[in-house]
Amino acid sequence: MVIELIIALLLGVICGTFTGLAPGIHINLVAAILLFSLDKFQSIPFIALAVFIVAMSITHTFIDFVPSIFLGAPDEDSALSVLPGHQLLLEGRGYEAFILTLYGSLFAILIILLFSPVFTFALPYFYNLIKDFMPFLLIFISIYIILREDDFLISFFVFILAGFLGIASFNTPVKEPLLPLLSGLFGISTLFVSLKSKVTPKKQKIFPLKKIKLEKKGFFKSAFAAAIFAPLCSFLPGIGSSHAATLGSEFIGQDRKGFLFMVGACNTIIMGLSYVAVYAIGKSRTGTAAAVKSLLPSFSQSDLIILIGAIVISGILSFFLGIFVSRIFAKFMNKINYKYLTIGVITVVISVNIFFTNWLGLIILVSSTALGIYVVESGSRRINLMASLIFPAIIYYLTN
Amino acid sequence: MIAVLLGISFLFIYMLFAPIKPINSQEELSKLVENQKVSVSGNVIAERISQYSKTLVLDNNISLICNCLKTPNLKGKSIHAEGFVDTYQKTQVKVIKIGW
Repeated sequence: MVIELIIALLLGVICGTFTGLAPGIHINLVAAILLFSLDKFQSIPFIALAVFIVAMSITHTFIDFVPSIFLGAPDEDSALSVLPGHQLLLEGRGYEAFILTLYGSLFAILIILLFSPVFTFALPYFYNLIKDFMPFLLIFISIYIILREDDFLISFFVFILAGFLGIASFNTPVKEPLLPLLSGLFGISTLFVSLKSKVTPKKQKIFPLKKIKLEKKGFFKSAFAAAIFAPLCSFLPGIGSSHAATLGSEFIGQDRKGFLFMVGACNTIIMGLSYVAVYAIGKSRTGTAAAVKSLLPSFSQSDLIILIGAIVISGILSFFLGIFVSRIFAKFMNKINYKYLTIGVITVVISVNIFFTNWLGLIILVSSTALGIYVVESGSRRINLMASLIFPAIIYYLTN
Repeated sequence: MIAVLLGISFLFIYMLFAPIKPINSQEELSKLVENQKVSVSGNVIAERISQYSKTLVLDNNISLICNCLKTPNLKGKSIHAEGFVDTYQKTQVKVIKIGW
C-alpha cells in the first residue's frame, strides 16, 4: 500500500508538471479521463488514485505560472499573474517573477497545514451559517468587483457578456466546456494581444535564489492577505484564487513582487483546502476535489491525513522542480524568437481544443477569445471574465 | 465584439432550440455529451423518492431524475419524457417534461 501511494504521488508530480507547463491542458481534464477509465484501475486502491490527483493538482499550482509568465498563456488560477509577470518578463526578470510565485506556493503549504484542523472543525458550522446567503454573497462580490473599476459600465458589460458565455457553455452539449472557455478568455486572447503588441522581452536573467526576496514588510502584507482571503474563497463556488488575490490586494496594498507572491500562495491554498472542504462539508469547489469526492465516497479522517501528507510532499518536490523548469525556460526564452514561440503556443492550444472538445466548443473558443481580447483592449480588468464561472453559480443557487 | 455577440447569440439559440435526440438504451445515453436534449420512453420498473426529486428507472435501464414529487406513483406505468443528459454521479436524464 505504501509503495502504491509513493508511486501515485510521484506520477502525480510528473503529470502535474506536464499539465502545469502545457497551455490548455487542465488538471480537471486528466481527472475526468481518470474517472472515465476507472474500470482499468480496479486493482489500484482508490486512495492511491486520490493521492495521484492531489499530487498532480498541487504540482500544477506550483508550475502553472511558467506558461503564464514566460508565454503569456495562463489558466484561470494564474490569470492575474500575467500582467505583473509579463511586465517583469519584458524587463528580463521572468525567472524572478516565477520564483516569487513559487515562494508563495511554498508558503501556502504551511497555511494549508495550519488551516486544515480549523477547517475540519469550524467549516461545517460556518458553511451552514452562510449557505442560504451564498447567491447573495456571490452577487455582492460581483458588484464589488464591477464597481471598483474606473469605468464600471464597461466592467459591467464585460461581466454580463462573460456571464452569458458561461451560462451558454455549461448548458449546451459541449465536450469539456471549461477547456475552450478558459483557454479563450485567458490563454489565446493574451497571446494574440502579445503578438499584436510586437514587444519582445529583454534577455532573461537568472538570479541566485538568495537575491530573489521580498522586503520584510512586503512579505508580511502578502502573506497576511493570502492567509486571510484564500481560505475564505476556498469553499465558495465560482470564486477562485484570482478573486482571493484581487480582494487581498484591494484591502492590503502590494507592489508587483508582493502581488506575485500572493497569487502563488492563493492558488495553492485554494487547491489544497478544497480537499479539506470535501471532508468537512462534502462540497467540492474544484474539479479535482470533485474527482477525489467520487473516488472516496466515505472520505475518512485517515484519508484526509494521507492527502495532506501528499500535499506537503508534492509541494516540496514541486518547489525544486519549479526552480529547475523555470531555469530551462529562462534560458530557452533567450534563444528562441518570441513571435514564433507565441504562434506555436497558439497553435498547440487550438489543436488541444480541436482534439478534446466538439464544434460547439470551438464556437465557445472563438467567442471567449474575442471577449478576452476586448477586455484587454478596453482596459477592463480580467477578473471580470470570472463572471463566466460566478454567473452560472449564482443562477444555480437561485434556482435550486 | 461582433464575434462575442454572434457567438453568445448562437449558443443561446442552440440551447433553446436544439434538436431532441430519441434514445432507447443506457448504452446510447452514455455515448452522449452532457446537456444534450433527449427524449425517452419506457415502463417504469422502480421509483425512488428523495427530498427534492424522484428517480425513475425504466425497463430499458435508463434512469430519470425528475422534480415531479407531486405526480402519482408511476411504477408500472408507461411514460414518455424529455430532458437533458446529466452526468452527475452517473449518466442519466434530467427530466423537463414528462407524460404518462
